[in-house]
Amino acid sequence: MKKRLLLILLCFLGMQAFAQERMVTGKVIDKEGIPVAGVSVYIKNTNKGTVTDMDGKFALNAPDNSEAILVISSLGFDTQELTLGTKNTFNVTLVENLEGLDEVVVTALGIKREKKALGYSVTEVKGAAIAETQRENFVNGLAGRVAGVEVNSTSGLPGASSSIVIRGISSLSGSNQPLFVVDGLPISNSTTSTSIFASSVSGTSFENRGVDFTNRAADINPEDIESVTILKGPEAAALYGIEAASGAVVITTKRGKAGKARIDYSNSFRVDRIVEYPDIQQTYDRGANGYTNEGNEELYYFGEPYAEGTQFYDNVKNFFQDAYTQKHNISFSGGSEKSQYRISASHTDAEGFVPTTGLEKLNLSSAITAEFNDFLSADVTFDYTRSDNDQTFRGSGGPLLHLLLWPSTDDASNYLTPGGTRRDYADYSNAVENPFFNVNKNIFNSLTDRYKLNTQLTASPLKWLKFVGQVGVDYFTTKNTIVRHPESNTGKDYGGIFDQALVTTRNLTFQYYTQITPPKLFNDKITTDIKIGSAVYDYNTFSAAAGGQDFQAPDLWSINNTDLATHRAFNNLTERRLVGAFASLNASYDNMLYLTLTGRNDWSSTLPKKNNSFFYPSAGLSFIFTELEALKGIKDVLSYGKLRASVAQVGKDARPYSIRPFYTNSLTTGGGFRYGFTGPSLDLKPEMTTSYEYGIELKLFKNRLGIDATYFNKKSVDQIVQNLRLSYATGFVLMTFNAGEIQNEGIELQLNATPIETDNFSWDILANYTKNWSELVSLPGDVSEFYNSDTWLYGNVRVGSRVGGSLTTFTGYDFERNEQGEVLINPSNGLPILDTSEWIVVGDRNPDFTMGLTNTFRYKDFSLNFLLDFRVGGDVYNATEHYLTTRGLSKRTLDRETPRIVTGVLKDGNENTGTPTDNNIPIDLYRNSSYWSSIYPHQSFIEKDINWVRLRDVTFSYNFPGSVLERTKFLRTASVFVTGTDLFLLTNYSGLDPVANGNSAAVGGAGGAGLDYGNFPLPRGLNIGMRVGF
Amino acid sequence: MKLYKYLFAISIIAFTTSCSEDYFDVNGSVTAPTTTSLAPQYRIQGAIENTVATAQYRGAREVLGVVQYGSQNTAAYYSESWNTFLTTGSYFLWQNAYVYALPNTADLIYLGKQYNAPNYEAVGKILRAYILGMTTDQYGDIVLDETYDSESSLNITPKFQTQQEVYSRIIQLLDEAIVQLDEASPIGLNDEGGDVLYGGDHEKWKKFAYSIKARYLNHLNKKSSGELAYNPQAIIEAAEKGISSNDLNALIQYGGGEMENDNQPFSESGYGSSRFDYFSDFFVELLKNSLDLETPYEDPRLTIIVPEAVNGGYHGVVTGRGLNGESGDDFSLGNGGFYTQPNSSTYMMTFSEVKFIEAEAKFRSGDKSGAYADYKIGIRADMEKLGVGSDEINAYIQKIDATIGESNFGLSEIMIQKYIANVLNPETWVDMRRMDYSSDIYPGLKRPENVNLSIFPNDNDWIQAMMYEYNEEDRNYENMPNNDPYIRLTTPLWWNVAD
Repeated sequence: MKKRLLLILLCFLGMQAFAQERMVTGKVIDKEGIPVAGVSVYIKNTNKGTVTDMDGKFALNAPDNSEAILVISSLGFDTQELTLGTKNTFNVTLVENLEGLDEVVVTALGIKREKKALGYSVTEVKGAAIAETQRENFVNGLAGRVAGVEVNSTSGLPGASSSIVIRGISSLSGSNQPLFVVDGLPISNSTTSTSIFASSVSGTSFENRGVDFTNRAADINPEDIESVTILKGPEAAALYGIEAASGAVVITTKRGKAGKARIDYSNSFRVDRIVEYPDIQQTYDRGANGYTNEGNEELYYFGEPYAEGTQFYDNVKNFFQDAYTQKHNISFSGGSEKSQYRISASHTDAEGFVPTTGLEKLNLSSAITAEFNDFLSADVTFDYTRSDNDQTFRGSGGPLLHLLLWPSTDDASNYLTPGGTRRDYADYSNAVENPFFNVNKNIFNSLTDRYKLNTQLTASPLKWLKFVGQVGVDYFTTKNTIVRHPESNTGKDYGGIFDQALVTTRNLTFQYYTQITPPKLFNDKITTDIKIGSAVYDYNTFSAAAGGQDFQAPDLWSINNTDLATHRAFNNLTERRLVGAFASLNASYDNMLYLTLTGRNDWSSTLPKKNNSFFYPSAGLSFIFTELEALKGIKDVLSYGKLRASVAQVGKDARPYSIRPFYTNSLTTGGGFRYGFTGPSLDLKPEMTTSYEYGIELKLFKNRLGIDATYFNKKSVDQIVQNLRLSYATGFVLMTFNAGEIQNEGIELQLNATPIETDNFSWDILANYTKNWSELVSLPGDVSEFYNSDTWLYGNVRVGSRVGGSLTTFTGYDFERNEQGEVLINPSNGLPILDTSEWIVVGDRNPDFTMGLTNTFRYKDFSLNFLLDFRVGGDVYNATEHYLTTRGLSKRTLDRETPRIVTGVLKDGNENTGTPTDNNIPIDLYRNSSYWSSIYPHQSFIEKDINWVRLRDVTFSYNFPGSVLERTKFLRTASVFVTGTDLFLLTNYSGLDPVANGNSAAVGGAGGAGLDYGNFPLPRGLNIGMRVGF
Repeated sequence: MKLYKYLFAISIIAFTTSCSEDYFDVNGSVTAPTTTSLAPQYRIQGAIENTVATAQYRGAREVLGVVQYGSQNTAAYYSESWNTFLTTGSYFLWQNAYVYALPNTADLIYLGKQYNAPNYEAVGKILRAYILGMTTDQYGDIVLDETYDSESSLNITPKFQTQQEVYSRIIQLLDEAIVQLDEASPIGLNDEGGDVLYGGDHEKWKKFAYSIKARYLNHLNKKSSGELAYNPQAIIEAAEKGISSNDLNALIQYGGGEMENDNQPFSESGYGSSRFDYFSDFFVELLKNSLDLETPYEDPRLTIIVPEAVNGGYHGVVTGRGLNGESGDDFSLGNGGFYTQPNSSTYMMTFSEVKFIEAEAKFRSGDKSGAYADYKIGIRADMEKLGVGSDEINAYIQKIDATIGESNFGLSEIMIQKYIANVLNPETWVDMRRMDYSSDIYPGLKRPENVNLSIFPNDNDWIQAMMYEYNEEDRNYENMPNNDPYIRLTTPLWWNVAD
C-alpha cells in the first residue's frame, strides 16, 4: 500500500516535473462530414503525436504552450497547422489537396520523399487498384497503368510467368526485368531456367520456350500491397545499385493502424473461359499431293476431300475447360500509438483452362511496427508463401498445336484404351502426342516454399540525425518436377523420363544509411539533407537436379523408381556478392527549387578484380515554377507546375562465372573434361548506362486536370553481352563480353482528369501514353546481328537485332528480288526464290505507341471502373498459322485446287533489264503440297502493324453505406463487386491473341513477346466477391 | 562539417572491414572445375579423348561417303553426292576440331609450362599437330595462331593462315615434342591414369610423333621446291623411327558398355550409328578382289570388316544411289564389323599405315624392292590387327608374290592396301586426292550416283576440299578465304598442286 502510494506520488511528481502539459482532443472530418481515420496529428517540432481512430477522433498530450502548433496531415489533403492558443478541442475539416504539393511517394530504400522534390518521373499505383483486378500475379495488374511500363504475360494459365520491362530494353542479352523491392528489401523475381535440369545434360533436353516457370515476384499477395511505386530510370539505382539498372518496382505493404482492432475479410470466385479457337479446314483428308493417306505418321492434310457424312469432332473446344478459382483473404490489424500490427492470410485455389493445370497458393504474412522510445523504432515483417503449380508444356510440345493436328475425324478426348493404356488415332504414332494424354499423364509441377524476413531499425538520437538499418533474408526452395509418362511420345523410348530439380535461393541484404539534416539557412529558405550509407547483397542459389529413365513400377513418379543405370545428377551453385557505398544530397530553396545529387560506388564479385569497382553519379533538378510570385495569381487555373530534369548513370555487372570458362564432362568421349561452349572473358568491365530525362508536370483547374510529360534518352555502352556467338575458330561458340552500344528514347505522358465531380457523381480519368524508340548502335567485330537462340522458336524467323536497327526486330530471310524490288521466280517451276544468304530485318515488334485508359465512375455507393489498353503498330509473328498452312489445316489452303501464279518476275537473266519477264507459270498446289511452304515462307507470316483495344479489366462495386452498416452493429465496411478480366479484344491480328509471348520471362534481352507459336489466348474471366470489415 | 566527415569515414570503414578483397572470391564455380583449378595430369585424358572421339570422329563421318567406305540408305546423301550440307557449310569438323579438341591441347601445352612438365607440353603438341593436320587437310588454309591459347584474351576475328604455314607448324610441333619427351618431368603422363593412349610411355609417344611426321611429309609428293619440298629420305627416316608394331598402334579402345560414350561411335549403340548405314559397293567389291586379279581372290578381311547381309552374302550399296527401292536386308550393314562393333577401337595411326607410307616413299625414290617389302609387312600388320589367321595371311602374301611380284608392283597396290587398312580414318581422303581419284590407282572407283552436277559437271570433277562452316562466314568473313562452293569444293589444296 505504501509502495503504491509512493508510486503515485512519484508519478505525480514526475508530471509536475514535465508538467506544463494538457490534453488536447478533437475530431477530423472530410468536407462531407465523414470522420477520417488514420490522420496524423502532432505537435510541431516535438515527438508528440498520434493518429485519428475510426471515428476520426484523437487525443494527445500537448505542451501547455499557447504558441505550440498542432499539425494535422494526411495523404491527399492539405496539411493544416493550428496554433493551440487556449483551446483544448479542435474539430478539423480536411481540405483535399488540390496542388499535389505535399504528395509523398516512396522512393528507393523505402525513403518517403515529396514528389515535388524529385527530378524524375515516378508513378504510384494503389494496391487497391491492383487487387481489384483479381490477378494472381500482381505484375499483370500493373499492365496498362503506367506509362513506359510494358507487362507481358506468357499465357493466362495460373502460374504463367510475366515479364515487365520499363523504358525499353537496356540489356541485349541479360535480364531487363526491374528490381522488385518490398518494404525497402530487394526480393528475387527469378524465373527458373531449364538449364538447371540434369536432363539438359543428357540429351533429352527441353528449353525455355517449351516450359514456363513462374516469375517469383508472383509470390506476393496482391491483397497485402498498400502501394506500388515504379521508379523508371536509373535514378533509382543511385540508391539500390546496379540491381535497379532496369528500374525498380517498389512495393509498400500494408501496416496496422492505431486504434481498434480490425478484421478484414474478402473473397473472390472466378471463372475463366477460352472463347476463341483457331479455325481449321475440315474439307480435305490427310495425305499429300491430293492423294489421301491416313498413315500412322501422316498428319498433313493435303489428301482428297473427306467422304460425305464424315463425322468430325471439335477436339480443340472439347479440350479446354471452364476454370474455377476461389480466393479468400483475411487480415487482423490494429495497435496502439506506439506499436501496430497486421497479420494476414490468403488462400487461392485456381484452376487453369487447360485440364489438370492449376495453382494453389497460401500466403501468411505479418508486419509489426514498434516505437521503443523517443529515438528508436523498428519495423519487422515476416511472411511465408507456398505455391503449388501444375502447368503444361507449351509451343511445339504444348497441347494447342497437337489438338489442331489431331485428325478431326477422331475423338481425341478418348485418349485411353479400355485397358487404360494410351490410345492413338492409329497404331502407336510418334507424329503427335494426344494433348489429353499429355496433360493427364505427363507431370509438370513446381512447388515453392518461400520465407521472407525483413527487419528495419531506425534510431534518431538527435533531431538532425537518423540511422536506418535494414537486414533482410529472402529464402525459397522450389521443387520442379517433370515426368514424361512411359507411354508418352517423348518418354516411350526411355520407359518414361523423370526430372527433378530442387532450387534453393538464399539472398541476404544488409542496408544502412545515416541521414543528417543540417540546420536551415537563409531565413529557413534553404534546407538540406544528406544520406550516407552502404549496402551488401549476398546472393546464393544452389540447384540439385536428378534425372532418370525407365520407371520400374507403374504410376510412381520418383527417381527411386527409375533404372539406376540411367540416373544423372547435376548441381549448380551460383554465388554473387555486391557491395555498394552511396551518398546523396538533397537541397531545396524556398519550396521552389530542389536539387538531388547522388553518388554510388559498387563492387561486384562477377567482374575481374581489376575492373570490379565502379562509380556512378546522378543529379536531378526540380523547379516548381508556380511558386514564382508572378504566377501565384493564376492558381485557380494553374495550381501547380513543375519542370524537372535529371541525368543519371548506372553500371551493370556480369552474370556469375562469366570470366573464366569451366570444364564439362563430355558425353561423346570416354572420359576427361573439355571446355563448355563459353570462352574466357578476362577483360570484362561493367557496362554503363547514361540516361537523361526531362519532364513537366502541370495541375490545372484546381487539380481537375493533371498532366505529366516525360522525354527520356538512355544510352548503354560496353554492353555485357552474354552468349554472343563466335567464329568457332576462336575455340569457343559463345562468349560474354563488352560489346556494342544500344540506345533507347521515349515519350511518356500521363494525364488525370476529373471531368465531373458532384456530391453524388464523379468521373475520373487516368490515361497514359508511351512511345519508345531503340537502336542497336554497334556490335563488336564482324558481328552484324545479335539474336537470342531461345527466341528462334519456329522456322526462319527469330528475335534478332541488326546494327543500325531497332532492338525489337525480327530477322529472317527474304525472297530474292531484282533491282526494282520485285520477287524473283524460278523459271523452272514458278516458285519464288528465297534468299538464304543473310538474316535481314523482316519485322519490328515495337508498337508505334501504347495507351492505357482508366475510367472510374462513382454514383453514390456504386462505382464502375475499367481499364482499356490500346496498342497501335508493332508486328506479330503468327507462326501457328504457318504451321497450319504447311500442314494443310489453315482455311487459307481451301482453294488449293485453283492453280495460281505467284506475282514476280522470272530469274531468266532479264530480271534486271528494262523488260523483266513477268511470271506466268501456274503452280498446281493440289498436286504439289510441298509448294505451300515455298510460296508462303516463314517471314510472310509476320503480321504487320497490329493494333488492339483490350478491355483489361472492369470492376463494378457497391459499398454498403454507413447507415446500413451501423444497423448491423458489427460491420465496419462492406462491399460487393464483380470484376471481369480480358472480356473484350478488338484487333486486326488474324491469330487468337496478339499479346502472345513465345518464351518465358527467363529469357533475357529483347524477350519473346510477339511470337505466337501454339500460344493460348488470354481467357475471359469473371469474378464475383465481397469485402467486409469488422 | 568535421562530424560529417567522421560519419562518412565510419560508413566506409563499416563495409570495407566487413569485406576484404576475398569477400569477392566467389566467382569461380565450385560445382565445375575451371581452367585455373586443374593440373595437367587431370587434363590429358580429355585432350586425348576429344582428339579421337570428337575431332577424328567428325572428320571421318563427314568423308565416309566421299571416300566411299559407306553409303546411306537415302539417295544423294550429302557427303556421297557432294550437295546440300557440303555446299552450305553446314559441315562440322570445324567445330569439333576448334571447339572440342584444340583448346584441350592448348591447355596441356600451357599447363606443361606452368608445372615444368615438358612431357605434357609434348603430348599437347603431338595432339595439336594431329588435329591441325586433319583440319587443314579438309579445308586448306585454316586458323592457326589466333585460336585459343590458354593465355591471351580471345581474338574474336582470328586470321587464317596458309596450309603451307600449317604444315611447317605441324612438323615444328612434332620436332619440339620429340625433344621434350626426353626431358625430365616431375609429373608422369599416366599419374592419374589419364594417358589412355600409351600409359605414360614416352618412347611410344615419340614413335607416334615420328609416325605423324612421316604421314605429313608424305603428303608433299607434288611439292618440288622450298622448305617443304618432297623428301622421301626424310619420310623413310621418320617412318623408321615410327610405330614399329601393332602393339604401338595409336588407338582408343571402347568397352561396349551401357553408356553411349563407351561404344565405338559408328557401332550400333554409338552416337554416330546412323551415319554408317551400309558398306559401299566400291569397298565390298574391292575386298572381293583386292589384288585386282582376272580370277578374283577374296580378301580374308572381307568377312571380318563387312557384316553379312541379312539375306546372305556381302553386298554394298552404290555410293549416292541409296537403297533405291531395294531391300536393306540385301546389303551389308555398316554397324557390326571389325571397326564398328560397340567395343571396337578408333585408330589414329597404325603400324601398317607407317609401312605403307614408307613403301610409297621408297617407291617414289626408286627403291622398288624396299617398297615391295614394306608393302608386304604393312599387309601382314593389318591382317594381324584384324585377327586374320596366319595360314590365310601367308596364303594371301604368297598369292601376291605369285601374281604380282616385285615386277608388277606399283603405287596402286600400295594405295589399295592402305585404303583397306585405314577404314574410318579421314587420312584416306588425303590419299585419294593425292592420287587424283584415279581409277588406275583404285580399280573400280567411279563418281557417285546423283552427283551434284551444277558444281561438278564433268566426269573427272571430284570434290577437293570442304566449305568453311557458316559461322565463320557470319562472324569472321573478313578473314575467311573465298567460300563460294563452286570454288572451294573444286579447288585442290596447296599440297595437291604441283610446283
